[in-house]
Amino acid sequence: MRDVMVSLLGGGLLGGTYALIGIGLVLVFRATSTLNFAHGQLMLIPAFCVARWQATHDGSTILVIIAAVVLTALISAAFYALVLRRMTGRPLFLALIATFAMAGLLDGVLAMLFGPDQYSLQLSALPSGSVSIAGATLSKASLVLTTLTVVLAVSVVALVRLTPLGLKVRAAGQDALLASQGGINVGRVYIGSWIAAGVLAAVAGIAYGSQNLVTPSMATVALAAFPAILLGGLDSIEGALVGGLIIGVAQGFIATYVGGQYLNVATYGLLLAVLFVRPQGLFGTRETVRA
Amino acid sequence: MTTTTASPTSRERTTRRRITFIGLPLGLLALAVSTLVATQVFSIANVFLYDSILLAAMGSIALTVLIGTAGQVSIGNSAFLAVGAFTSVWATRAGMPTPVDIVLALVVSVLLGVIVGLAGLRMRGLEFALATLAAFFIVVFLAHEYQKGVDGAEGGFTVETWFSTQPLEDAQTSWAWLLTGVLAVIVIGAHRLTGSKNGRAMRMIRDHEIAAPALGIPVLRTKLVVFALSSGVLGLQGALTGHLIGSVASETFTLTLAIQYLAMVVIGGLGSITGAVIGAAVVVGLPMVASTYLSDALGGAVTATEAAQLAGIAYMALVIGIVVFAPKGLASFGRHIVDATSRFHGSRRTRPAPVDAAGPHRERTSSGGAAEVAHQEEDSLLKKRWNQ
Repeated sequence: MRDVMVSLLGGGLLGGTYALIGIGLVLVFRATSTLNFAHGQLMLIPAFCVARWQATHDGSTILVIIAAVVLTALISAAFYALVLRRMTGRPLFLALIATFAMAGLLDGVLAMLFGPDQYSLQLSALPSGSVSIAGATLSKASLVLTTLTVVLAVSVVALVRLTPLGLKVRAAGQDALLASQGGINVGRVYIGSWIAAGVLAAVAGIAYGSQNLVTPSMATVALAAFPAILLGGLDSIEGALVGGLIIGVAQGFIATYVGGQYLNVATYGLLLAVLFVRPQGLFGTRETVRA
Repeated sequence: MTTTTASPTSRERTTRRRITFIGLPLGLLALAVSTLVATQVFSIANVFLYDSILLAAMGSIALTVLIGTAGQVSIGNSAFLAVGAFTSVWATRAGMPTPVDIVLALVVSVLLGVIVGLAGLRMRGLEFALATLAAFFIVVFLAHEYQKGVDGAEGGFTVETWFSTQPLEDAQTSWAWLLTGVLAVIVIGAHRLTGSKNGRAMRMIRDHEIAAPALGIPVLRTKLVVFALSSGVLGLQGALTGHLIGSVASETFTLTLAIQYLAMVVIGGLGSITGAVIGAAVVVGLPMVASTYLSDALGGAVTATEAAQLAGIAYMALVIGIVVFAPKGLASFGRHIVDATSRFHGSRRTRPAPVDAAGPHRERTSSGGAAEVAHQEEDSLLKKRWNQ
């Protein structure tokens, strides 16, 4: 029972992070029809900035966190406006390669600015200490963070599902031409999607970084969100939430019962399995054939 | 790229065919001359760098055919480097003599390419890219487990370097000529593959995969052959690299490495064989050159590591710039010159009438000129038929 709870709650925190990353990836996918392989680097930017600030300054970090989130959102929006917006109507692989190059570019810049060092990131607002749930000892901070990430993810889904703004986002993601004919400013929706993706990536990066060490390899966490969004359906925002939680909890159980070194294999094996069995995922739309 | 609005006149076509015809021997000659110059002039370290570039050019050519000509974006390319390197290590440890392990690495990589290809190539576009990403993680995991399971190899395997009986300088020179030969074979192979009917089939699959079967193109088989061949070349490169640098470690086969290969392909121009070699030289050479010269030039203002990082940032920015402004890469500048001269000498008066084959979703060329490759005109006719 103890192991089950540890797996479940440990996986839950990971799942919340995956859900945030995944929702960002799906928003971007709906706006630009490409997978953003630079998303992990967008997580690194705020985590490094905040951790570096904490290492060199005292005092409250809330303003720094806000500034870092804004910076990430700006970079994300600029990448769309300057690069990916011009890929409309061009072959898919050009946009894909552009996101890879962006990942490499940001990796290089971060390596120059922050070096190969590891940083630790503390969020002082989080409660310290630990609680015992069904025999499992968990830090209060991770529980609060789990709740926060899941609540944030759920509210984004609700926003897109239930509000008039969400309706615009869904319409623009479904058919840009029809949506613009219906009076929706598709360009604004798309750039809004990239800003939202940047914010979500930043929050995910800070949340994940506060529970783990901040290192350049943190970017691979975003790659593990690809199986999650594929499982949920590449174009489905609620799918990203469900898929993220499933992958996170599954990883929690694999780490406990099988061993941490098998995490990647199992996760990407699942990705292959989904590609074969149900490429549209749980909630996605089946790809229609475009001639 | 799907830019096709011009149909060159027959005279221009002949000129271009003639240029393509002499282009291959000319390119091979240039390769041989550069190897000759490099081995005579360069220091040992720089000949080693030249060897590394030749090695990278092999994989870069394989990928430019796979990604640029056939339109299949494979992210897991560094996994096949690992497959080749580790097969070679395994074969050597099993007691096989030297050239056999290279052949085995080639065979295993091709076979694995067929297996991954059979599974993955039914998918299109992003799904295939994701499948190769998954394959990458699985291969690296297996390589890592193998490495962990061997006593004394936790940090990687030591591989016997070739030509080690010769003095260091001669060894690097021998390497340079060996790799030049291998690269020449790959260049000829890639040239024949992309210039033939198969090449047209690949471009059709890239641009209109759904319409391709209707023209009698065996889509899956074509993609499978290209993927298996490119995997084989990458595997060969991985195995040879092990014997050049003398070690193989699973930690070196990273996603960053895979992205660097994508960068080579894009910098040179997707689908261009010459471009792939140029791209390899830029991506492999620039960090080295920068760390040697930039740190000297700026008088210690930047360290060697920083200079190499700057070079990395520079070529990644170059990739983004090329994708946005000149998707045909650096090689297209050369082609523009060729076209400009052929227009000047030949058909200045007979300007080609633009053929309106571009659908609403397709980008148009900036000018109505004849700056198109010979094969693309066939594509244009096919597209016109299928693009109502």
